[in-house]
Amino acid sequence: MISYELSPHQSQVKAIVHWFAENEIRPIAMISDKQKRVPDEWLNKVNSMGITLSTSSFGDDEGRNAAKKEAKGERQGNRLGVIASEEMGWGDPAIALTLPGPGLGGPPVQHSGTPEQKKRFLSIFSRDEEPRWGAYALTEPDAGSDVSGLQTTAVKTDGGYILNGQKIFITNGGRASWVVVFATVDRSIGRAGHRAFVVEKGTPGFSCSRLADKMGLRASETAELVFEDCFVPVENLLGGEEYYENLSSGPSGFRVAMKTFDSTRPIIAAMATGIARGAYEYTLDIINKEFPKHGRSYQTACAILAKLNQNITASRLLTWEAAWKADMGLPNAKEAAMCKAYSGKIALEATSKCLELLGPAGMEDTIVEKMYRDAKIFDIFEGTNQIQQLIIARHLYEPHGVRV
Amino acid sequence: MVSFKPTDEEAAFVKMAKDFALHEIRPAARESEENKKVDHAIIKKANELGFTLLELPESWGGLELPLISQVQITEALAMGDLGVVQGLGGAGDAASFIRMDPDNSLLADYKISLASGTETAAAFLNCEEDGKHKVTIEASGGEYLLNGRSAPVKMAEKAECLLISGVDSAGEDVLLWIGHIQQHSGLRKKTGGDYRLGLLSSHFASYEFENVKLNQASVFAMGEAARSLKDNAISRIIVLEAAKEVGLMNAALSYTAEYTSQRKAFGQEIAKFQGVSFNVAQMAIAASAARNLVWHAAMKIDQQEADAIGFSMGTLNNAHEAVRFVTDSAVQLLGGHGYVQEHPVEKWMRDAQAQVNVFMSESELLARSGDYLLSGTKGGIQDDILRTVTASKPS
Amino acid sequence: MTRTIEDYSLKEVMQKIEEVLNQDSKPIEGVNAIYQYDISGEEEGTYQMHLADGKAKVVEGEEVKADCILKLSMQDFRHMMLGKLNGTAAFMSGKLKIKGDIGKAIKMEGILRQYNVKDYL
Repeated sequence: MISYELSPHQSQVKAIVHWFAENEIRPIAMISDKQKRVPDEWLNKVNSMGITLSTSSFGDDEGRNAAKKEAKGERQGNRLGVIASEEMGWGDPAIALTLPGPGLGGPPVQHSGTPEQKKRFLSIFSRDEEPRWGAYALTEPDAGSDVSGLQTTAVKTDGGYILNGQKIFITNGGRASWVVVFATVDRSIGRAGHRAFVVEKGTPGFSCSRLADKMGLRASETAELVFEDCFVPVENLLGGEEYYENLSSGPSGFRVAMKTFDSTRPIIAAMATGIARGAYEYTLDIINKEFPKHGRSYQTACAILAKLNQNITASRLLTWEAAWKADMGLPNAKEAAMCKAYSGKIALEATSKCLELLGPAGMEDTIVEKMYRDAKIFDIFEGTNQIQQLIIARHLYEPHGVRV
Repeated sequence: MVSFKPTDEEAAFVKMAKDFALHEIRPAARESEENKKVDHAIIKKANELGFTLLELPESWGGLELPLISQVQITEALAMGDLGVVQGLGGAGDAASFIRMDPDNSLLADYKISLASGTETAAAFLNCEEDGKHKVTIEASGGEYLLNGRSAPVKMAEKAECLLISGVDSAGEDVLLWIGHIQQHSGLRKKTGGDYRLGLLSSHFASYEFENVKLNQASVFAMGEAARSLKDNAISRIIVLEAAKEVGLMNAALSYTAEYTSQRKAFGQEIAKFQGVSFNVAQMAIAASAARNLVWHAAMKIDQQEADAIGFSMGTLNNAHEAVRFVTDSAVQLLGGHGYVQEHPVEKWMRDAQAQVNVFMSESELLARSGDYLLSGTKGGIQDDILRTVTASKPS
Repeated sequence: MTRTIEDYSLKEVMQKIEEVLNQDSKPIEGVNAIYQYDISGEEEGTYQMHLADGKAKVVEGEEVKADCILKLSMQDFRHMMLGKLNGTAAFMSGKLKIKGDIGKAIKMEGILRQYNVKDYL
């Protein structure tokens, strides 16, 4: 039956992540934004606490066993993921994305890697050692939304492949121990030629050329990666040669990239919901404390905050719906696109309207100003708003036999 | 545990409602509008299938369903046609008050009447909604004197019973029940009004009160009890109205997707132009967001959560805004064909506008839901101050 | 000959913890809190750990109101002591349930990790 109640487990996850967001993340949020860097001491500390950003941390293996015990075999990974991510977004999205762990590189390794690869790449994240990161490199200077326009080449050679090309906008690309890199083995065959490789840091020919300065999420490392005759051993081709052997039946690298979006989009949407909620709560508090309880400014505040509350709640519900479907094993691409499109939009609107209520004073040294700058990227990465609408439209027109 | 899965019973009832909506209601929509009434056969069938009994208590022969089930079924029904759904009659909005106070002695006659299978309709007049029209309730020695003209009320043309919600001259909340409208000579229905916008098969009419005297025998509730009944019943009505709007949105979305997938222009189906497909995507998002809020609001009311009342207002505000956007888009995307009456979308746009016009001001809903968020109370402190001021004149 | 942790009863494990925390009290310096462990499963029991002024005292039963209550199975408790079960993972997977002060619970996890349990068996 329909239910919005969090189970005790879900409530605990929310409480813990919120505690972490409030007590560990928020105190360093403003300084990290200013310095364009999350302090190393902080990262060492949280790494030793065992806190990582792992989208698969609630899903497979350990999580699955626990979930099985609790709910008669019902998977919870995606719902737990979005519940936790909302709190992370509330804390600070840049810092959340900088938490040690496989990060956005996790899902492709998890979904497409051979057992040996999964072990090799996912076992390096340990709280007893220094913090490490994984990364995911798809975007190129000339290929963003149009992933099929990939230009990074992978030429087969003895024992592996030679990669040449450039990737931009890669989160943690510079500090990552390994990066999942998408390249094409044959540009002429389009998406069928795409492959995912795990390129390890220190590989000759692989370098981080620069870090980008951004409008928001300034504490998060956004790297440009360059591949110059970079040799990658065949053991690092995700899924191995067998995975791609049968082109007609097996998924191509393109599908590898696209499938993970169905899980990661709700996570991102949840973070955006958290940002909006953070701005809303901050502003509601100020208004309750400082605004007179009558008159025009009060009425305006009532109306604005009421609309934001609707939007934030709807954003959360759409995200939960997408995550729930994923947990149930139901196709959720449309819902994942909807929640991503909606949440990005309302997060920007919420932060903007909160700034309006705070007035010009809101521009100086308030977290809401940073939240506004942070919010904008959520309309763009993990698939722009336009791509999300395209996906939704495709699903709406599919039953009518029209491909848009 | 967070789940979006309807129960099997809900799913079955929803399917039945959808079939009824598309096979019986939809084909009769235009005719209902032209005749300014819903065909009796449809009303009869709706009653038989239980669609008019969802809210009524079991002691009244109703299904007394939780709101979460009702919104799903209502949404499905409204996919047929909103004007028809609003014209089905029965206890209507009064059902929510009956649900809160089923053994109220004033309702005895009506209860018998409904149980015996008559289709006696009840109307609900909320005098507290501001506007051009105002009905005043003067309190004097336990009696009430009503004067004035009301705004158009749903089903007023057909209703035999009338539930009136208002605040009397002394500032007290009051709920009055008129079991037989014809017994009050000063109470007239302004039938034959020039309604053209929408919901034309829903029997809208204004009431005119000329020194209508009501004594204690007509008092359904007063004071704190009335206030509490109102807040709770009205929040239920609000959520059900929002559910109807979601149904209308779904109809418009579905129709538009189908039309634009077939209509060709500039060498291809117009769905292939992003200006069109993206608009349709936005319609889908708006409808989905609205639906989620409606279900959530229904659940909050069922669970009697503290913020249920304020949240229901926010939900209707959202639905109002969304239904205007979705139906407007539907007309727009059908182009000239959207404007003429061969297709249903222009009717749906008119119905949507009439709907949002009648069932509480969009801005007012927003402001009041905000009141709840800021001050944590209904109406906010400002309203109370005003009320004290107006009520303090000597009686 | 060293015993394995499975050889210790719950009571013995708790006594050992008290012993070890007092012996090597640096990690608990400045920590003032009362923790309650509700262990279930193959062995059951409730123990409270009082930390104050750099000293630890472990008592059986619910003497006073604890700052936070940690519930887990005997097996998971053993695994946590041995470092086989990551405390954070335990919180997140629901194996370790917390009631009360989350901050203190996370702190305790960090404290226990500073002891290499195998050294003391």
